Amino acid sequence: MALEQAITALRRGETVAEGFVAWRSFEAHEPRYVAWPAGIDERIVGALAKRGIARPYTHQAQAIEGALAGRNQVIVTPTSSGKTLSYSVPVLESILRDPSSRALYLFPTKALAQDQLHELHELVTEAEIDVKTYTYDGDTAPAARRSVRAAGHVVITNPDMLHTAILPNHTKWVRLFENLRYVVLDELHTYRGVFGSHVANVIRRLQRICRFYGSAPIFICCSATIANPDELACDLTGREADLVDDDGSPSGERVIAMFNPPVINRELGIRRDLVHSTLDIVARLQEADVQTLVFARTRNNVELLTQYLREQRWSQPGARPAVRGYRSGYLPKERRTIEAGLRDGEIRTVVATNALELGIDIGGLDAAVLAGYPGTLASMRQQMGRAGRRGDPSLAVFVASSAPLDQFVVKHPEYFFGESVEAGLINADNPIVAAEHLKCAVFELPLEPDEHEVLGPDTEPILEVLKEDHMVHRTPERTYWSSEAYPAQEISLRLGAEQNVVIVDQGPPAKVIGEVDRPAAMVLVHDEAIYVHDGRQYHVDQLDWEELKAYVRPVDVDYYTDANIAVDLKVIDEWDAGTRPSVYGHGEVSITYLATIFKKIKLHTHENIGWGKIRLPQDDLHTGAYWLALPEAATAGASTRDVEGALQGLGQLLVQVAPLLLMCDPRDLHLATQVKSPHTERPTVFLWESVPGGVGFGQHLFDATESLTEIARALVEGCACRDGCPGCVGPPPAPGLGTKSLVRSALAALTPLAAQATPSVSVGDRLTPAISTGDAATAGDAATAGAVAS
Amino acid sequence: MRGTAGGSSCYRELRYPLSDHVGDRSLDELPDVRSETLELLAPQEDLGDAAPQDMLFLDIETTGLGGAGAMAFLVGTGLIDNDQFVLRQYLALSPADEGALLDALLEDARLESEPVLVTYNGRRFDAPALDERATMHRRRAGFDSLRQLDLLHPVRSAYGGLLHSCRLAVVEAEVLGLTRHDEDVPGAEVPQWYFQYLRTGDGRHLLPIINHNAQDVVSLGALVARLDGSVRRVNLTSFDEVAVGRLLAHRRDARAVEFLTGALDGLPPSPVRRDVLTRLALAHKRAGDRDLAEPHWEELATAGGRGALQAHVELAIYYEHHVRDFTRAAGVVEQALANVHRTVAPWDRASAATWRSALDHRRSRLQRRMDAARAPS
Repeated sequence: MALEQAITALRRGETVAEGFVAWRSFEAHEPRYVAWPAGIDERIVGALAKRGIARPYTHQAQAIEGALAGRNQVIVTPTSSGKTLSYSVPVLESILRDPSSRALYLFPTKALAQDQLHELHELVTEAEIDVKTYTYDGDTAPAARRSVRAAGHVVITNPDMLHTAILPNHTKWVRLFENLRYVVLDELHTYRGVFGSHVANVIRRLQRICRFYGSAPIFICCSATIANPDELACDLTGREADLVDDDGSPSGERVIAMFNPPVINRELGIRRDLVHSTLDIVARLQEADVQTLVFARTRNNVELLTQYLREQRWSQPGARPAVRGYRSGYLPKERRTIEAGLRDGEIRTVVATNALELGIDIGGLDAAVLAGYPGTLASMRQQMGRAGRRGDPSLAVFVASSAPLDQFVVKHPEYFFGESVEAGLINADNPIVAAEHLKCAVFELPLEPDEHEVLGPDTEPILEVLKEDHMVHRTPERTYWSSEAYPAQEISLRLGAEQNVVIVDQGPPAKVIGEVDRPAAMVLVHDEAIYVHDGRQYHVDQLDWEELKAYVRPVDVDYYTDANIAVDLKVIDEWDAGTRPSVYGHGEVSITYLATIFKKIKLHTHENIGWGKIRLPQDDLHTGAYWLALPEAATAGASTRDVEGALQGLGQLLVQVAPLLLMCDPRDLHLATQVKSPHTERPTVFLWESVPGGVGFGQHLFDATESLTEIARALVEGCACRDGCPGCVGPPPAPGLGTKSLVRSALAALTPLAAQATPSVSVGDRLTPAISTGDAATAGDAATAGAVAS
Repeated sequence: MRGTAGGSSCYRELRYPLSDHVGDRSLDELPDVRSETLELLAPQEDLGDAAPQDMLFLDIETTGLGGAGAMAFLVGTGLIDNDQFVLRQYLALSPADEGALLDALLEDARLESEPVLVTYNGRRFDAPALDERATMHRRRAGFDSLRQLDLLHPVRSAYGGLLHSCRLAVVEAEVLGLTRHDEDVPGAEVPQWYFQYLRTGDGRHLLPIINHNAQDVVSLGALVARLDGSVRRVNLTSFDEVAVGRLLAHRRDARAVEFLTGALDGLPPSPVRRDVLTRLALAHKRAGDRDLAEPHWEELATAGGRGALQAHVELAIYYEHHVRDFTRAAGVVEQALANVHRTVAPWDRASAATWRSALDHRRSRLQRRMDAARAPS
C-alpha cells in the first residue's frame, strides 16, 4: 500500500536514508469496552448506538461514572480516543434528570467551539431530547444573545469571552450561574504559561460568581499528554480531580522516525538546512500519494515550504497534488475551506503552524512531518498524533533543525519515546496577572475580607494601590469598584491579541489578505519587505504604522527578506541576586527595540543578495528578566573578542534551554548580551520576557539557575563539533576564536562539582519529571553511531 | 435618611403643583392624558386600560454604562397625586448603600400594583439595570416585567431627523422650550462627578447630579402631556404638527393625513418638506387614494434628491395600473432614466445599475402594452 511504499522509499532513498537516526513502530491496540454505567438515560444510549457506539471504552466509562458521582475529572488520553463523550454523557444525563441544569464548555478557540456545537447538536437531535446548545462568542448575533442567556442548557464559549463578556455581566446570566452543574475545560494543556495563569484567574472569578449564586460546578478537564495533568487541573480550578489516563481506545500501527539532516560541513558542523531536508521527505510522501500534514515552526517556513512544494519537479504526469498553507493570519473562511479539503481528501498536502495542532476536525491523515522541534514534547506528540486518527497505519517524522534543542531531541530519541514529558506550569498568583484580574473581580462583586486569600496572596497590597488610584472604594466591610472603566476590556488573556496589523492587497479590487501582530509586523511587513502568503509573494509598498495597515501588491521575485532588530536593555530594579557560582539575578528591565535593516535572501541558495534600511519608530517595553554573568575564572586573560563570542555562545545556549525548563513558547523569551554590563560590571547574558510586565519567568530561572547551567553543559559536552556549531554554542564568529572552549570552561565554573559527576536534572519539585538528560555526554554519540543501523 | 440592614440611603420628596411651568407649558393636562395616546405612543405595551395615575416616571443615574461594576446611586421617580407632581429621589452616598436605596425604592414604587413605567430608553437601560442591581443585592425587583412607555421610540419616530439628536436634553430644549441651568452636569459626566464626591465627600459634586436627575423625571411628564396635547391638536405648533403626523404615519394611523396635509401648508421646499410629502403620499396610497397622492409624487419627482426616483416609479405604477395611460407612464419612466445619474451618488454604481435595469424592465413592458393597445384586435 501507499504508506508502506513511502516508508520503503524513505528508508532506502538516496539523500535521505542516512539521515534517519531512529525508526520505531508501535503495535496496533485493540479496543477495550465495558458496559454503560448504570442509570444512563436510554435515549442517550440509543442515540450513541445509532451512531455506532454500542458501549463506551474503559476510560470513558470511568470518567462518566466519576463525574456523575460529583467528582472532578481530568482525562488524559490521545487524540481521537473519544474524550468528548466522556463529558457530554454526564452533562446530557444531568440535564435530563433536572432540566434546569446548565453546563459551560470552554475551548481555547472559536473553531473548536463550533466543532463541538455540531457534534453535540447531532447527538441531541438523534436522541430526540430537549437540550439547547449554543455557542457564545464574538460572532453570536446580539439578538440571539438573550436566548442563549435564558435558555441555553449548554453554553459553549472560550476563556476570553467568559472573561470579557459573561463574568462582568453575570447579572444577565442568573439562570446559568444558579444552575451550573458542569464546567468542561478541553485542551487543558493549552492553558499553561502566561495564558494559563490568566485562565486560572478567570476560573477563580467564575467560582466566586458561582458561590454568589449558590452553585458549585463539577470540573471535567481534558488534556493532551503532559507530566502533571492533575496538578495543572488543580492549579487552574483550585480543586482536586480524579485522573483518568488508562486509554481504552484502539489505535492503528504507528511508525515514528527521527531525521537529522546530514552534515555538509564537518569543520563548522553545518547540516543541510531544515527546509530542504523537509522537502526531501515530503516529496517522497507526495509521490506515493500519502496525505500529509507538515508542521513548521514559523510562518515564514510555512510559506517557504508551501512555495517550494508547489515548485517541486513532479515525476508523475498528470495533475499535480494540491498543496496548501495554513497558519494564523489566514482568514477564517480560507481556513474552513482547507479543513474541509483535508477531510474529504481533496487536499493532499498541507503545511501548517501549530494553528492546526489543536483538535480541529480534519479527519485522519496518513502522515505528519514535523519541520523542527515545536518547543515542547506535548506539542510534538500532539502534532504527531494528527497522523492515523482512524486507527489505520500511520507515519510521523521529526526533522531536526540545527538549533540546540532540536539536536538534543534527535540525539536523545529516548527523551521523546520515553515516558518523560514536560509539566504544564502556571502561576496564578503572578502579581501582575493577579492584579489585573483582581480589578475584574471587584468589578463583578464587592470583595469581602474573607475572599482575599482565595484571590491570591497579594490581594491586600494590590487593593491599597487600587484605592490610591481611585479605582476602588473601601469601607471597613468591603471593597467596591468605583471607576467608570470596564477592566475586563483592558486585559487580553493572550499576547498582543489586540494590536494587529492588517495586510491589504491593493488590488484592484483591494482586499484584506491577512493580519500579523505588532511585534511580528516590524519583521514581516516593513516597507519593501517580501511578505509571503499561501505561497504567493507580495511586496510591501507601505507600512502605515499609525493605522496599523500594510499595503502590498503581488510580485514574483527570487528572494525573500529577513529583518534585524537592535535591542537595548537597562536594569531598572533588581529583585533577587546571588553571587555563587557567579553574579546572577532577576528583576525588572526596560527594553527598547528597533528594527534596523533587512536582508534580501535568495530563494533556494539562501545567499545574501542585498539589504535596506527599516524606518520604524522604536518600541519600548518594561518587563521581567533573568541575568547571569560569566565567572571571573572563565574570562581571565581572554581577549574582548573571545569574551564577546563566549557571551553570545552561552546566551544562545541558555535562551534555547530555558523554554525547556519553563514549558513556555521559545518566543516568550529573548536574549541580550552586554560585554560589560553597567549593572553587574561583568560580561552578562540577559534573558528577557516578551510580555509587558513579564509573568515571572525571571524568578523561575533564578530559582532554577543550577538546572539551567547543567542542561546547557550537558548539551555542549554532548556535541561532537570542535569549535562550536549551530547545535550547541553556534558557529564561531571568526576562525580561531576559542568560543566553545571558553563556554565550556565558563559552564564548568558555573556548574557545581556534584552535578558534574552525575548530571541529572531536577528543577524544584514541580518540574521533576520534566527532563532527564541522563548520561547525555555519551548517549549523544551513541545515538549518532547507532542510529543508521536501527 | 432611610436605613435598612447593611446601609442607609438618602431620600427626598418634592411636590410640584401641576400648574408650574416646565419649559413653555404647564403640566395641567397631565392627569387627563388619554389612554389612547398612551397606546399610540407604545403600541406593543397593551396600554388600552392604563390611567394617567398608573404612570410611574423613572430615571436612574449609574456609575457606568454596563456590567456588574456599574452601580445605581441615584433613582428619581415621579407620579401624579391629585393636582401635584410628586418627585421622589433615592440616593446612595456610598456603594455600600445601594442595597438600602433599592429597598426604599421598592417599598415606595409598589411594583405589585403594576404601574406603567415611563422612561427614556428604559427598555434597554433603566429597567433591566435596576433588576440587575437588585440581583447584585439578592433582591427581586421586576421593573423589566412591567408595562413600559419608553418615550425614546415614539420621540424617534416623531422628531428623528428634525432634531440634531434625540437625546433627552435636546428634546427638552427644542420641543419643550426648556433651558437647563448653567451648573447642570452633562449626562456623560455624571459618573465622574459622583466619583469626585466619593473621594472628597464634598456635596457640591452631588447637587448638580441630583438636580439633573430631577429635571429628567419632570421632563418625562412634560413630554407625555405635550404629545397628548398635540395629538388632540391643543396648542398645536407647526413643528409638532409635522412630528405628530410622522408618528401617526409610522403607526399607520388614518389621522396622519390630516396632520401631514396641515403641516405641508406654508412649509418651504426643504428636506423636511420632501419627507412630509413622501409620508403623505404613502398614507394616501395605503388608504387607496392614489389620486390624492399623485400631486405629491409629482412634486417629489421634480424636487430631485434621493426620493425622486422612487416617486417616478410610484407615478409610473399609478399611470400604468390605475389610470392605464401607458404613454404617460412610459414618459415618466423615460424621465426617470434620464435622472438616474443625477440622483444616485457617482460612486454607488451598483445601485445605479439596479435602478436602470428595473426601469428598463418597466419600459419594455410598457412598450409591449402600448404596441398591443395599438394593434387592431
